[in-house]
Amino acid sequence: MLKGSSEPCASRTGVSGSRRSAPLVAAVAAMVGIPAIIAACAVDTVDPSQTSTKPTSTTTDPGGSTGGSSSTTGGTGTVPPPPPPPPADAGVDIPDATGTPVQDPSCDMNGRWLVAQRVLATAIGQDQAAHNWFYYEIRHEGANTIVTKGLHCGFEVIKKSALSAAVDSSGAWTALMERSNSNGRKGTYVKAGAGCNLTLAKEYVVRGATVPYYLTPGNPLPAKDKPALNGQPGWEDWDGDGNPGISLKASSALASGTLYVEQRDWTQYSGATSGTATKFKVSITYNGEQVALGRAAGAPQAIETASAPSADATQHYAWFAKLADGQATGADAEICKAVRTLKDTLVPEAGQ
Amino acid sequence: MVGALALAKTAHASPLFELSGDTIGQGGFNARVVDSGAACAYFNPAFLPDTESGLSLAVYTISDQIGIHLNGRPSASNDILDGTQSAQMPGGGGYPSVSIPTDWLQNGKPASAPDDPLKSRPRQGAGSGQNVRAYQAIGLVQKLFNGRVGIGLYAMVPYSKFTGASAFFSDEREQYFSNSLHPELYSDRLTATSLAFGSGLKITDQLNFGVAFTLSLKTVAKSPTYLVDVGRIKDILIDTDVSVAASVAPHFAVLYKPFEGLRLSLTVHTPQKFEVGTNFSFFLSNGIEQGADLHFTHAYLPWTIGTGGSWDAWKHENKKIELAATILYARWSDYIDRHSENPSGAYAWYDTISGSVGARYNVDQTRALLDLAVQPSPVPTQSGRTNYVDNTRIGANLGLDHGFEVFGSILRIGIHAQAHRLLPRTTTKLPVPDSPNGTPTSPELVRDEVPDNAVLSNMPDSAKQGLQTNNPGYPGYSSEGWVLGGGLSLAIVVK
Repeated sequence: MLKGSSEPCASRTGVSGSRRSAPLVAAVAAMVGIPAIIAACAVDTVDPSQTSTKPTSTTTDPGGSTGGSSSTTGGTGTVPPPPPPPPADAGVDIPDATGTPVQDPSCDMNGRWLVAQRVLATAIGQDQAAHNWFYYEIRHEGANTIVTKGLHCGFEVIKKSALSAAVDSSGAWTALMERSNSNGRKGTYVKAGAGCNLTLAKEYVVRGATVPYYLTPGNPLPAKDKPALNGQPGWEDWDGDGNPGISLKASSALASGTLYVEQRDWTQYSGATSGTATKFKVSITYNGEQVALGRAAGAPQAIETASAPSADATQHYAWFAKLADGQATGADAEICKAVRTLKDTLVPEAGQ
Repeated sequence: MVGALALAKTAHASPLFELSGDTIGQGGFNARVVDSGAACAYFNPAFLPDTESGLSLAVYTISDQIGIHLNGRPSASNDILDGTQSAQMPGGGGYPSVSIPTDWLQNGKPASAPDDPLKSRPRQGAGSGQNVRAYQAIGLVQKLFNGRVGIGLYAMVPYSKFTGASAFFSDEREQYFSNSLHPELYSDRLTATSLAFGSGLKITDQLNFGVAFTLSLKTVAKSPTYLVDVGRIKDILIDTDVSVAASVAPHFAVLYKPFEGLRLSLTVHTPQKFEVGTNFSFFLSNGIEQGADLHFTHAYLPWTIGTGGSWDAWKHENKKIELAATILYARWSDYIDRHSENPSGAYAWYDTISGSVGARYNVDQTRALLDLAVQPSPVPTQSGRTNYVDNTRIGANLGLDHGFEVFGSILRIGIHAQAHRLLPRTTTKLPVPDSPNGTPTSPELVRDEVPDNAVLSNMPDSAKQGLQTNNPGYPGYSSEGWVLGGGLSLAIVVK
């Protein structure tokens, strides 16, 4: 038997029109002397469920770390001014050169490189490609490599399917260059068969939150109510636009708007290189997390939709192009500006 | 810019007739095998040359009170977690459907400026099994050619609306809408158009033939739509262009009277349904144009073949006792649900054989009837993905009317009542075997909406291992209920 309910069944009418006819129904029922028609009823009921009322979306870093909230948030209140960027060599210990020759002259990474990284991400069934551009000065001794100067010159997201979004992050490029770098990133570059094999150590990059604190993957990214204040880590207004984190301008056929976020992602380069000694491609693995800190007025919630790496590993790679003397020189800002220009001619393949 | 085109096709169905039987005359649940007056126009038009001419009206009320009880979900590990919406198939690509986090369905999602809160859709929070409706029944019979031909009309029109239809999914897809189970063969089906025209021909004194038609509608609705983007649904602009055309669906009947007092009938009712075809085309400002065709089938009634007879078991002067029995075969295995899907495989519906028996007692102008009927459910045990809610039904029908002679005609006043008991039925879902490779070994069972091999970012493995489902019928449910009806009738019989 069905379990009872105190709710009168006559009020559980589920089809439009029934309520409107209620007075007439009552009159007719009374007229024909069958009020039991209304009284005799069975109601819908549901047993209690063993269901988590607030399921935890635990953030797990496939690389072994945990942390970060996947929740999105709305208004931000007062946004503290961005703290000054740290010195470029802060916290980085680059050992002196030993003079050791490279293991194989045909696999020589010494020099200045333009690195164009491309990964494919998917959100609600739509594909989008993310492009990051770096400037690396690499010292290569024996089998080992180390980035002695690694500038982060910016990134963009382009749509790869009809309804996916493109993202313009240009407002944050200067902040990325000043607050993030790859200085000290280590790896190996050795002869492998007829070609070479490159590895670059796993590297975390944080955008829109205190570094180096949040470069430690065990420190969850801060929620919207946790700005960096009084020396305590939190989110920061990196691009100085009065909004938390960095501002991303998303646009698609379905929805557009500006999203304020903090991000943390990691990359690891590993595999045989293909190409020439001065221009080659290598596979990478990556993952990331993002916390939405708010949206500009009128921006739909849809732009907060998180993306995930494509399961197709061939879609994630980086192109290295060796810079000639005179290319991408000067101050950091000039170098990055040149990198963003040269990428289209030196490694257009990375712009897929 | 978005353009949408909705196209509705044929419509014809009379599940209300099949449930209520004759609500005006003496047909009751045996209207296919007895002289039921104007109701012959639907049930057995071969009787029309033999029945009384006249106009009849009735006000009839039907209350369907069908309760559905859902069992509690056994474990939080069955929940869909927030974040699984971005799950990918191994090798890349999204899944064709993405489930809503269970917590959002049950509790809603709080407001987060500038967004409004998401309303909850708790399980069985929007059932449709409790309704009370009043109908106007109308009957008309006219004889032609010295009674050799009879024509008739029989209709039941809801007071609230002329016709109605509500579509719902019978599986986990209903999570996006009512997140509830609904009685499959009642509820909105009792608001379907119920209008029949019939004609009978007396071929010989022993043999009549009849043909009937139920009303068909053909509706075309075009709805061009303009939408700036999905963030501004409130600003949607829509034009409409709706047209309705009528057609008919045929039914046939043969009445054989081998000797005085015995009437044998054979009736064939062709499938009846209310079809709506919808074509949506989306034209976006970036030049992308996409479209989809969706088809809905409402109030489906299968091929139904009825046979039986009525026999004047006792007659004395102006008194008579008539016995009646009907057997109906219904090809429910062809059933098409509201989303135009045919239950198939292990969960295909059964064909049914139902029956009714009854008696009529006439004294002068006073007539009484009592019928009993049983209708087995065509729905198999729903231990898998689908949740077609239906119960075996037994019913009784009582009727009494009396005629008065007024200005040369007979004015007949009657009262009718019926009760159907939907017998309790319990459903328990079968366990779903683990499927590490993401391909279900038994796709007819409850669907694992987050496959075990889904590629998830920043989610624990527990979010995908084992069964995760929002199927509102999981892990089981039970149902039972009543359908009660009653009304007053008034008939003017032309001698």
